[in-house]
Amino acid sequence: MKLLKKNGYNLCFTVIVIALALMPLLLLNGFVKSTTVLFLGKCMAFAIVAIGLDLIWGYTGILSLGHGLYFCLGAYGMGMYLKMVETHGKITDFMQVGGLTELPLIWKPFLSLPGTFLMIFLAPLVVSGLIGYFIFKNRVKGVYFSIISQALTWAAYSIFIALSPYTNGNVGISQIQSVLGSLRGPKNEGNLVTLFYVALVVLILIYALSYFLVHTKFGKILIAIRDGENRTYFSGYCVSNYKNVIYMLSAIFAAVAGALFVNFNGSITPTQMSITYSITMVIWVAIGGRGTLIGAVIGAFLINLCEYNLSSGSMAESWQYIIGLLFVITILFFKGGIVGIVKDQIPALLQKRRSRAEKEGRDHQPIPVKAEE
Amino acid sequence: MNLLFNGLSLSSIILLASLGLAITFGLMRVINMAHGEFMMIGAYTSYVIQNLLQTWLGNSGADVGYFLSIIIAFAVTFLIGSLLETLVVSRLYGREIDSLLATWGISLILQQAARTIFGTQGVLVTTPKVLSGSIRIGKTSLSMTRLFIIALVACCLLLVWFLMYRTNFGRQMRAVMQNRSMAQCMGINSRKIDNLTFSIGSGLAGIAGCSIALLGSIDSTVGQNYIVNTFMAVVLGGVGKLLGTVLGSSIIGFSSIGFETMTSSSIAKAIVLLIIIIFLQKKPQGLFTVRSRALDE
Repeated sequence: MKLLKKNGYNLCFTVIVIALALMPLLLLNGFVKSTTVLFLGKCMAFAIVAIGLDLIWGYTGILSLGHGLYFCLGAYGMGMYLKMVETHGKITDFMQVGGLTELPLIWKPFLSLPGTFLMIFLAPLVVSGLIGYFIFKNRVKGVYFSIISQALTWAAYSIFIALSPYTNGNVGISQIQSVLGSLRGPKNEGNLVTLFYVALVVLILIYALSYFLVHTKFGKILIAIRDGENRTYFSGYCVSNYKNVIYMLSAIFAAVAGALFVNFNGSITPTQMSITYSITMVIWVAIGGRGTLIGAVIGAFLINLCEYNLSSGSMAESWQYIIGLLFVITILFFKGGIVGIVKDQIPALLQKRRSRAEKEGRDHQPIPVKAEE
Repeated sequence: MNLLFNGLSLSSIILLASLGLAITFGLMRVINMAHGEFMMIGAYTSYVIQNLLQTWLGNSGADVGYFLSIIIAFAVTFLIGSLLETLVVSRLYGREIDSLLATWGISLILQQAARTIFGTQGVLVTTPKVLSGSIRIGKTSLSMTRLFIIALVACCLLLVWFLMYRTNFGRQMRAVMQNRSMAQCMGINSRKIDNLTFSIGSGLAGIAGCSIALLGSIDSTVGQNYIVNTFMAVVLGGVGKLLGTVLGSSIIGFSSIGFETMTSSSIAKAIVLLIIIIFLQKKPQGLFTVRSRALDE
């Protein structure tokens, strides 16, 4: 029991990882469909964004409503590389339609795979670093940060749509294969399985990195910032730098997730950058449980699996109601999300019941003290 | 001249949309993400009322219906706002970020409700005959709908100002927002004031919804288009100041129109937002600030 309490989170994560690792084996034996595996691959990407969001929201108390921007930076970078693999480094058809004759300079680094990987790290790093530097230095915090991040994402969204010769506007980059080639059809199951395991390894690495980070002194300072920003300032820490570093890290996580996502999904549109989608990411973390890494992972998997199973078919209409209601109830009554319910609220309830039972039991017994008197 | 009128028109629309927000966000510190959906409800209300009256009274009914619907939309969103305050928002005072998220959940539900009732196809409100023409002054023609919206905004602004600064209720409201416990000691029922304030803010969103119904088709996402601009207007103006909101929304409106002459409209939107964000770095509190020595203000 003690072991469970101490290592419950990691145990839970291990269970999830093992379950995921079994999926491709089930696929090869024909127990699950390849679409399910493909979908779980996307879920892993979502779990990575959720971890990143949890680091800044759950641990540091910065609510970003604009992580779709970083998600899309990674996804567009990867998507553009894959698109140009198909065109053999020449300009794509939508650029031709847009009137460009040469490959624009911003897409040049994405011609090679190492360059793409480098840019997937660098682009969100630079963007989030710049934004974070100014915003945190000027001590914009709380809801103001949320509103500004939302507005920034909206601005980026309209720019991406407006610059359609570069980004293909509303349509986005579509009809692309993964890094390993096509994933569809029974012939390419091997590719799918390999890619799935790559994503799983990335997820484990990012979880491990975050786990390590929140248990160091750095992580403790983040929690201190969340619980009392001014006190942390007065204790001599440069809060804005800490915030900026964690913000950049979570932006990189989001970009990595985006890059993985586009491999599985085969297309990327500006919808993934919209405010609605960005807040959906926050919903995963909130329902799973903010402030615990495993909560973010559970939330991302659970919500997406439910959506996947419910949003097609007769439940499609009620899904929006369900998710909305669930979200409101979580925010109102269960601050810790699912993890909080399991970890705190159920034990507290049991404790209450036990103590009440004990009390009642005591009441029924004859009181011996009086008799002795 | 034409530019000026367009700017004024856009500013007035943003102002009308952010007026309610200025009350809920500025005074009550509740981030109502469902504000856009209240506008949507207002717009749909005018659609429903107009259609009802049209079937009863014919075409003249439609015209009357629109003007009538402004009042009804206010009443409807007022009631929904009151209900929302009692059920959800009242539990979230002092938790700004949570209020943002919870009302987002509400907005998801309201959007889906609109899709269930009215379908995903956009619906149109017919412009009343009185408002369909335009007035020519010199070379520019001023469309009547836009003039009407400007007049409507001026009325609302005047009413809100009167309510806030010249009535007993307004005095109580400001007292509660400035120092809740002190106001309670003075015998003010702060729960009632909270509820009324939030409801009025929502009601104003309903009126704003009626005005945007004149500008284009209505669907379940119509409110979403305004949410970013209205929040920025309130933040830019300085939270808690009516005059600030007026100035903030006119800055956004005029500069959007100004930039639109140079580039495409979506780039213009982005530029305006970026400039405001850069400006907010200089003055994080907005244009008008309530001076205070508190650390966490």
